[in-house]
Amino acid sequence: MILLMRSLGHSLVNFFASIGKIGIFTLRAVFHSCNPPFYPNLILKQMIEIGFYSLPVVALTAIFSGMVIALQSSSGFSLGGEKAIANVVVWGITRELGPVLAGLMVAGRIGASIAAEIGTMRVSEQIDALETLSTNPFKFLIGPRVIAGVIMLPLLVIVADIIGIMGGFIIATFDLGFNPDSYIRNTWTSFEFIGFISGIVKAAVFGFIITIMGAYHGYYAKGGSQGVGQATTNAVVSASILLLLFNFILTAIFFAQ
Amino acid sequence: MNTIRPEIKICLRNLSKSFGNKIVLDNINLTIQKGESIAIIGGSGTGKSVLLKSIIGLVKPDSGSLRIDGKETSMLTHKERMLFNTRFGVLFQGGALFDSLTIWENIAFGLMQEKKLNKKNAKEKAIQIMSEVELDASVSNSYPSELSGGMQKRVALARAIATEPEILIFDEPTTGLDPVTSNVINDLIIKSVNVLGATAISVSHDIASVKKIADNVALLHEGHFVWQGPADKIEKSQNDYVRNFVNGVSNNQSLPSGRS
Repeated sequence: MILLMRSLGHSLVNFFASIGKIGIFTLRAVFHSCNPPFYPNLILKQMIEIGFYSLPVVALTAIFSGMVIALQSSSGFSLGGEKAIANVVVWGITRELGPVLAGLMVAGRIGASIAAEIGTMRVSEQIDALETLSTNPFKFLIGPRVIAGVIMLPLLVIVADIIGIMGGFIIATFDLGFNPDSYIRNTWTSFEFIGFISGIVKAAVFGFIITIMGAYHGYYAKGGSQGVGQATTNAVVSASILLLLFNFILTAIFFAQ
Repeated sequence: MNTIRPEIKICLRNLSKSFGNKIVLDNINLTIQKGESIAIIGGSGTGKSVLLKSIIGLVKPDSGSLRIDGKETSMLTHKERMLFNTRFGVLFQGGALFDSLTIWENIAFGLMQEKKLNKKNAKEKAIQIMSEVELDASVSNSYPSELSGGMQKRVALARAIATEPEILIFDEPTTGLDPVTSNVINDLIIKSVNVLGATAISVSHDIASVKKIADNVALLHEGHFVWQGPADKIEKSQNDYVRNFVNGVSNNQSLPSGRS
């Protein structure tokens, strides 16, 4: 019993210690992202990496999600379905599926690559080398990635929203035989600003979570290639879980009655 | 009046560092004169790297004083430390070249970040330094992964000396290189230290290399210096541990400490 309590206490202490460590890391990352010197070239490079090269995966996820929502809801609303389906597609995509699925895809793609890159730099002493060359790794490595993540995720989500709604339109008109004009009109009337904005804000927060988690796990990676592999896994898992947690919190804040 | 009183560059007093229960450095004392080239030797896991990293500021000592140019460095903030680091040029064990940058960008990194040179001037300077370490200018646009181990070491050396630092640090400069390449690197190290008039600290296992590049040697064992003296005296030392280390004999008996 004592043994059980001891190990429980031990893991609890470790848990809070790592929360503190992540907190301090996050504050440092934010501080250095907001203070000069900035590296515009590196920010641009990361924006292309995070934004442009994520377009295909995000677009594919979005179009299939839009199509699935239209299909699923068509079986649920047999009467006067046309308006309801457009409504469900717009709400579902802009409020939830757009940001969450884009976020999860980017967490897998970018969270992993940030953790692997920074982790490799850590275990091969490249981060130490940066410091001896009077360059702050928080400004040079982490800042550009965080800035790019916070800017690019909302843009990706706008693209996901448009493509997702288009996926719903394709199913509604080609498969369910709705009138395209009235479907588009219904889509417009269903569109609500607050839902769209909530999705964009979520996306910015997700971009922050993903890049911070990737950088954190990479920065503290140790023990060669195995350590880097572990860091990559931890980055993706923790980013995904935090992303879903914050999705819930932000939804509760935006749509609290 | 020209009484030559050697200037103290680096001074360690009662420096200690432990990780968890493991004491890595135990009340270390070491004085390094300006322009001196000292080698720190010792078996694996005796704290050599931790000592180097403490001097560079990558590891914070638990207690004791570490003065560089008379300034206590263990209390510096991160930002002050960054500025302070312009005095150092470090050749890391594995090279630690930035693999996302080309060879010339690696060498010119310090010039652009610290000395704020523009790209064109930095590249010219980088190519000039490449010739000093006998690297062909044709590889300047290659990436580190495209070069052999020996060439990577040269690039790392070039990067370390590019900003003309006052203190050069070499972490196992010849590990993993063949004897011929090792010799070339040793010669380049001697040349760079002489040209810059820098103070040099090397960590090494390689006795042949140590005798060549260092004036003085300090032997670290279990967190203490067990022997310090001129490099050419190391083979004549009567200290058992030093003799065994130099001859590669395993050492299991308890160790006498102090100078021989």
